[in-house]
Amino acid sequence: MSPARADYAAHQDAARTDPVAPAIPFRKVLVANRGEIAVRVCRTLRQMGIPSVTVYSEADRGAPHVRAGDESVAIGPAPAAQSYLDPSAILDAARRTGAGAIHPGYGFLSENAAFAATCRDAGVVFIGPSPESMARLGDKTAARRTAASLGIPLVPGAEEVASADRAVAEAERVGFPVMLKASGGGGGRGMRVVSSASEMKSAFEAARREAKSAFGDDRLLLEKYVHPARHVEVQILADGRRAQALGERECSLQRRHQKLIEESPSAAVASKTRAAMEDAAVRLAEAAEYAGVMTAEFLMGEDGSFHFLEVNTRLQVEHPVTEMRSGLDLVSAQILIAGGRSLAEALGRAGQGSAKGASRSPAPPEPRGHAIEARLCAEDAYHGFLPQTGTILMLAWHEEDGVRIDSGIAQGQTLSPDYDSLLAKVVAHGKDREEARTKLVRALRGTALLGVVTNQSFLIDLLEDASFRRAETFTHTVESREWLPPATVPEPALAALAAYVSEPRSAGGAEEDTDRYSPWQRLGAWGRS
Amino acid sequence: MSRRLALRRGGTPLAVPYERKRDRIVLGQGDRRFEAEVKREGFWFMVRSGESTTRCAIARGRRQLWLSCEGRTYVFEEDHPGADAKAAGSTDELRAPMTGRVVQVAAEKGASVREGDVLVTIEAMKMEFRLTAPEDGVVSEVRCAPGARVELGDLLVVLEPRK
Repeated sequence: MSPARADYAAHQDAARTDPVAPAIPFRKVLVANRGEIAVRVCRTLRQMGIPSVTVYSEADRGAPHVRAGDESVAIGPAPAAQSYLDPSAILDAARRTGAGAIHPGYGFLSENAAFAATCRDAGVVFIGPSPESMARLGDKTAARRTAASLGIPLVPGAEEVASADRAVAEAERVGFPVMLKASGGGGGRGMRVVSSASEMKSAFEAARREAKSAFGDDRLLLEKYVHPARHVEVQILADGRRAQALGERECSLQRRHQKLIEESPSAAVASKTRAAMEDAAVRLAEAAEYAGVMTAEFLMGEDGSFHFLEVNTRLQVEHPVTEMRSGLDLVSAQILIAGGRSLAEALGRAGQGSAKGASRSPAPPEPRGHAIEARLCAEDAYHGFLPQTGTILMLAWHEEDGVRIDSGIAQGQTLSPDYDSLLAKVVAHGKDREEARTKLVRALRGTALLGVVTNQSFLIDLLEDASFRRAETFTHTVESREWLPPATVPEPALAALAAYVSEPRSAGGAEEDTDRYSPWQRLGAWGRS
Repeated sequence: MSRRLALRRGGTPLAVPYERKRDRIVLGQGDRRFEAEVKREGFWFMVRSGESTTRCAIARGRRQLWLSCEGRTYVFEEDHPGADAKAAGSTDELRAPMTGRVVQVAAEKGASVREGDVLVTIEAMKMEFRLTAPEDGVVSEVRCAPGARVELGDLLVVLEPRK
């Protein structure tokens, strides 16, 4: 059993046996998301004994997250703007099912302060920070101001650029290259690196369109493009009064400003730097009277200096990396805090075994070992990371102690182009970086996902690459090189297997197997007579 | 009885005679032979040849055979005559590289374009992708409009290269 799973189980036991355990905070929780994160949130709700409701668009009718909760509600057509991003559709589903709280996951409405306010007005608890905290930290422009007022170093830039001409003027002030970013959201959407004035107009328009379509907010800000840099972020858990840092994650390996590999700890962060970053993150959270989980993102230069980048006022995609090291269940902690519990209670009760007395000690568990996460995405990494669609013909995961799979896909599922390409996260925990790395490579090598082109092979390349082994990872590492598909192909073995399965009706062998889960049986015979 | 595999991978044909006896497969003939024994283990097939064993998974799509081995996925197409007979014509056909939605059409019929000019912007999985002119030329056909949903391989723009 992986540490994370062991910890969930231990938490559940503690909740049952502790006589002073407060009642579960909510009668029923609606999960306003899809894919792996909806499945993962439902898992914690089940472990906490809280009934769950999931929602789905027409395109997701048969998706795994629909079956992950206790009930599921259809909320509209495939385009996210008319389903997962539609506040009234989500609130209506909560009302119809009697859910007293909404967990937004990440993306979609998770960082939408107006939605959080609407929930509050409707008497539904938004599992996340207050709209006021979100406005102060979630909006990139406001967050830069808050950070500046606390004396936290910032990347030079301009807080709001209303036109391409204005952007050129600001870029000339801080110096090209610069980065355009959506003020109202993250996840790499609405971001463009611009290296000269002549590229500005089209980059500005594209970033604006993307921002509008992803977040419903087309405001852009501009920052100097720091290069070379590492992306390091600090996980925070806070209860509105006090904040606790739970270590850092390094997420330098990115493509299109979207993370591919995340790990904790960062091999490049010295303990003094870690303390300074954690202190900055805690001060940001406390200044905004933040309640819930939060991530403060920083860019770190080669000399170890760091600049504040932005705050994510939600659960991060890569939160399992922190969970596997700390033994905490961050979703459980979010729910407890949204239900009015203190930081100490959230740390103690969302943590592992030694729950007795933990409510008196706010100290988080000492992080153990090293954890690395790889994001398995439906994209062709060897051809410009183009998104891929298709039907999953076969799916088999690798199971091993210390390997956690957070998946939102199932065999037979057809992937829609309407949503993000993230299919699953494969996370490995080891006593040190090398053990975690080899375990993660083994898990990826032992996984079969057929029917859709994914970045599985590329993730193995990255993890096996000399730069990753030496922890020389920067935000430009992935895109500054050409990655080619593996040169050696075990063609004879593949051809032998193709030949083997081409005569399923002949006598003997595996075909007598009547395993109904076999994709081979389901998909019928291949071959010719 | 000897049979023949007729597949191709990435446009390269893989045509090879083989024989099968129960779990044993013999590929090729004469000196160029590859012998393997195949065993099923749940989802997986163990392909043993001499000392080495390769663990593979396999599934059949509509026109393709998907194989996975050591975390790498290989796609074989069923071979048929003319599969590679893509006309080496004098025009450039810009096709949708993925299923998605057209967000912007910059190409105008009759317009002269330079290599690298953006012709069409498509959005899929919330990311924008720009289709650019592969060389200098004149747009002779525009077959898409903003807002339209396009499937992988759909013809979007035809470009007449400048001589």
